[in-house]
This record gives sequence, structure tokens and C-alpha cells, in this order.
Amino acid sequence: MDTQSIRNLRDFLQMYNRISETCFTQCISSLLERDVQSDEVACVQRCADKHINSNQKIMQVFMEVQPQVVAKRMEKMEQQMAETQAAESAEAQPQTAEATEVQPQAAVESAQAEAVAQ
Amino acid sequence: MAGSGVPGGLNEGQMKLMQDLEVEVMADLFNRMTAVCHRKCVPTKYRDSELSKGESVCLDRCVAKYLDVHERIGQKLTNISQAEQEQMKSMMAAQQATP
Repeated sequence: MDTQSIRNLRDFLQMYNRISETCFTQCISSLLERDVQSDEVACVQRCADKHINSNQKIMQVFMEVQPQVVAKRMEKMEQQMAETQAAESAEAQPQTAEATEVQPQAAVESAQAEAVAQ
Repeated sequence: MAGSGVPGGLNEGQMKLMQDLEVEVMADLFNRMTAVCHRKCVPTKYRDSELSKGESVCLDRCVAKYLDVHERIGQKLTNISQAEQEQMKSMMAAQQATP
């Protein structure tokens, strides 16, 4: 059994404890008897089923949506890197005394670098 | 470590991990049960430091019921995970059977 299996087992057991706590809190209404009443038993069964089903649904949707979120984040990062590189290469151009001539030149070059990067 | 790939057979390291996990889960169960039963049975007026008879009885029943509920939910989860494993096995067998 490797670390991943143990992690899975730990998650499973923690979920088990959480379901027990929630279903007990919601379903056990009276503490007049030591035995669990039949209506409380039914409530606990339904509660546990609902938690398990919602857990499965949540996992399903998460596995669908999470890759999209990660892909979007990667795209943004790549874009930012390209912009930083373009800005750096524009700065490295030799500066002349005529600032007005250089600025449009640098703007054009950085725009070209961006277009190439994309 | 040798034997780590053997299903069903646990070596010392894995046994230790399992025991640690069990202790951790037991402690979590105990903490949750304590919190819930305290909330249900002990009012927050705090007129007296000693437990009244009613509170003692309530706590006794609360713990008994909590462990009962815990066991029922455990059985349900075991049944469901067993059923899922059977389903996976039959699916894999069906896949292997088809040429």
C-alpha cells in the first residue's frame, strides 16, 4: 500500500466521521432512550445516502471543471511571460539622444515581439 | 521494502502506518462525539460545576446512540464500497474477455 492509497483511506475515514457527526446531529432528536428509534434509523439511512451521493456528484463536477481552471491559469502565465520578455528586449535596444524617434521604434518592436510570441 | 506489493500482506512499516491512521481516526471520532453530546446535553447556564443526574443520563444515552449511528453508517459505507469494487472487477473482467 503506497502513500496515495493511505491518503485515500484517510480521506475516506475522515468523510465517514464527518457523515456520522452530521447525521447524528440532524437526525437524533430525542435522548430519552438508549436505543436508536426506528424513525431515527430511517433518517440516518437517508442522511448517509444523501451525503454519499452528493459527494460523488461533487467529485464528478470537480474532475470536469478543474482541468479547465488549470489550463486557463497556464495560459495567463504564458501570456505574462511573453509580455515580460517583450518588454525586456525593448529596453535592451540602444538609446539615442532623440527620444521621440526611439519611442515609436520601441513600441513597434515590442508589438512585433508580442505578435511573434502569440 | 519487500512485500509492499503483496495485496493482503502487510509488512511492519505499513502496519505501523495503519495503526497510526486508526489512532488518528479514533481520536477524531472521540472529539466530534464529545462536541456533539456536550452541545446536546449540557446547557450553557453553568449554575453548578457538577453534572446533574439528567445531564449524566443524557450523556450516557448520547454516546450510546452516537456509536450506534456510527456503526450503521460504517456498515452502509462498507456495503457501497464493496458493491463498487465488485462492479469494477466485473467491468475489468468483461474488458479482458473481449478479444
